[in-house]
Amino acid sequence: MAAIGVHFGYTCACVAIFKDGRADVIANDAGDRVTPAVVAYRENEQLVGIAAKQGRVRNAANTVDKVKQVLGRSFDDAETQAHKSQTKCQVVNRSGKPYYEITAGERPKYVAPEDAAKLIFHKMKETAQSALGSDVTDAVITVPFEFGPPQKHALREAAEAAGFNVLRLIHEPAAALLAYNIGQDCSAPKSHVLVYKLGGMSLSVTALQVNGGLFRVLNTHTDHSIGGESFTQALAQHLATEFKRTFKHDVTSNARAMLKLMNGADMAKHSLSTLGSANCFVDSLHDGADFDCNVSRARFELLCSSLFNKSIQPIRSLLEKTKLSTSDINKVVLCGGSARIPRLQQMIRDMFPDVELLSSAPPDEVIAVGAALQAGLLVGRDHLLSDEESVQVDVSASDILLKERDQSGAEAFTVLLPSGLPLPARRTHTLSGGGQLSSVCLEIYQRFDSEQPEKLAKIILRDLEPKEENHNIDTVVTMKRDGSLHVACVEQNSGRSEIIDIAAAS
Amino acid sequence: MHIHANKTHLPLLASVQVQVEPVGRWFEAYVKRRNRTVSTSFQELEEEEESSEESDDEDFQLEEHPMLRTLDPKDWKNQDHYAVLGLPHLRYKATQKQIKAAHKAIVLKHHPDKRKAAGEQISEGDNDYFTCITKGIWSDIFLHLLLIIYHCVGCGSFEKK
Repeated sequence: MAAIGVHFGYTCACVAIFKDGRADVIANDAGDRVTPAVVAYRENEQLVGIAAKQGRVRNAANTVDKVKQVLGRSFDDAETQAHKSQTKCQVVNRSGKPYYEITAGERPKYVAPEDAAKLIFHKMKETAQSALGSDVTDAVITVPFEFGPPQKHALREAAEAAGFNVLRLIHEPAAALLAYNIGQDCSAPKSHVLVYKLGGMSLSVTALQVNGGLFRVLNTHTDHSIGGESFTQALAQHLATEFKRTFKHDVTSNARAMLKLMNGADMAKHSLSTLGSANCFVDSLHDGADFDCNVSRARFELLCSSLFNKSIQPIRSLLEKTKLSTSDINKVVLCGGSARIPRLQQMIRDMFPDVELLSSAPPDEVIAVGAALQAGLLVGRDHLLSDEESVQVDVSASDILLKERDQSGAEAFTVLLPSGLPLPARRTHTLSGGGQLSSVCLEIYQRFDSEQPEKLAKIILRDLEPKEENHNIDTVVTMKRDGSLHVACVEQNSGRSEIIDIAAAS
Repeated sequence: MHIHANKTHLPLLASVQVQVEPVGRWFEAYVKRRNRTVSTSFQELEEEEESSEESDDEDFQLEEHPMLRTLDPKDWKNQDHYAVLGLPHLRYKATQKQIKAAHKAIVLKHHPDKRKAAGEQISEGDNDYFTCITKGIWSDIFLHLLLIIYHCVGCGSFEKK
């Protein structure tokens, strides 16, 4: 059964389909795997995607972009006001809600952000259906972790209005983990994963704990002041200075010229991720003067070095807040288009020297792939929990360790149940000792954080019959949902067993 | 052999509740199990899911061929044997067990003796549509061979749709 995953970002949207057991990103009708989340209103048509983005130079007042910023927010919201001051499209207040004033037709039209989002979702649905060749509508949509219920609701409404059957909304970092199949193996141990997302408009760093196949967000940090657009802006500013130097004219006050420069800078930035230098060419930038400039990658990195530092800084503060060191992180996942920048990847690699940096999948597509995988899991299931975007789960509060000691006095700790394990859980441990041993002592310990382990119980197996082969003692530790422990020891040879129950403190 | 156990009285920390992300197959398994309120270990769940799939296989649905009664036994080579047996939705996915069960059910329902008892007119010899069913499944061995060939060649070449 096929299903769709959609990542709806601030600047771009990406769609992936799940079919025949795998998830693939689908290119839109223009051949691009990500679609700019831009809607342009004309007199009697609406354009979505690259056409709208390119037409923005001439139709800025009727072009809606970064609609995700105002989705589900009230007019007085600080985010809405910030959006209002940035966008070229008029934002007006209608009964407390922001509306775009579109003046393309004879009379002004008022468009709700949800309607603009709906058009983008519609485009993504068409893209997916063109590849599937059928009218599949079941989809999973990703949302940023910091989205509140009204924003989630607005996003869901927009997707449903576009004809999607929204199976579930999932958080972007969790989708990224799913795309790399992290923690989905049966025996995956407890681990920590850092998701670094640098999108077009925002930076978000999230630390997650993976335990027993479940993901738990430990801490997250979002910064809306930095993103791919900041780098483009810095480059465009540089291009404007170059132009001023050659033609003795300042174009920074000319909005249209700056938009043209931004488009040129954007393309140069993209090619600089793979090439050593890129050419930026803008036709008749000012007074019929063409602008041509070559930018090397080193120049770009120099221009953005302070921005790069700013985008790396949140990682350290997040780890400090989470009380984790860089060595506690087992994996780093990169997502968002700007995470393609080689210099940035290098800086992250330097910060985590021994950690696997996951960037094999294109960073701007990872989240959509994860959403499609989740959609594949959910499609065809009848009883879905609705609107329960996060669920409370009982987990163990401390590590449960097993200390073994044989006659020679050698001690060994084994972590049987790590803290944060979803309950109920069961682990089996087989203790093997030399046949000449006459007694074996097993001790159950608990350890909270990284304090000294405390002893909970002790099991001694005495008067073992000496024999040629090893003694094998199976220990089965079960922790119930309330945290109480049930430990069973069985000597394999004789089958005699000893069971103890330890009740949890209430 | 002597086993000795003793317990100390240090408090064991109770479990805590945390929020988890609703993604991944383990999450689905967790929710499924929680809704059932059956206490099993986390690892046992995978096996449980597999066994539930098996039990699904046994109570499959038979979709009776709408034109079964009008089928011409002489034309049996061109008929869709899956449809005759009431398994058009399963096709090659049908297991041997299912085909056996489907055959049994359909023979019980359409055997000429049964219909005679119900007062229906039965045409003589091989002209009755029941022959279609028996042709479709002569014997288990024949059927299995037939189905293997049927799939190697591709169902389409036999079907006239």
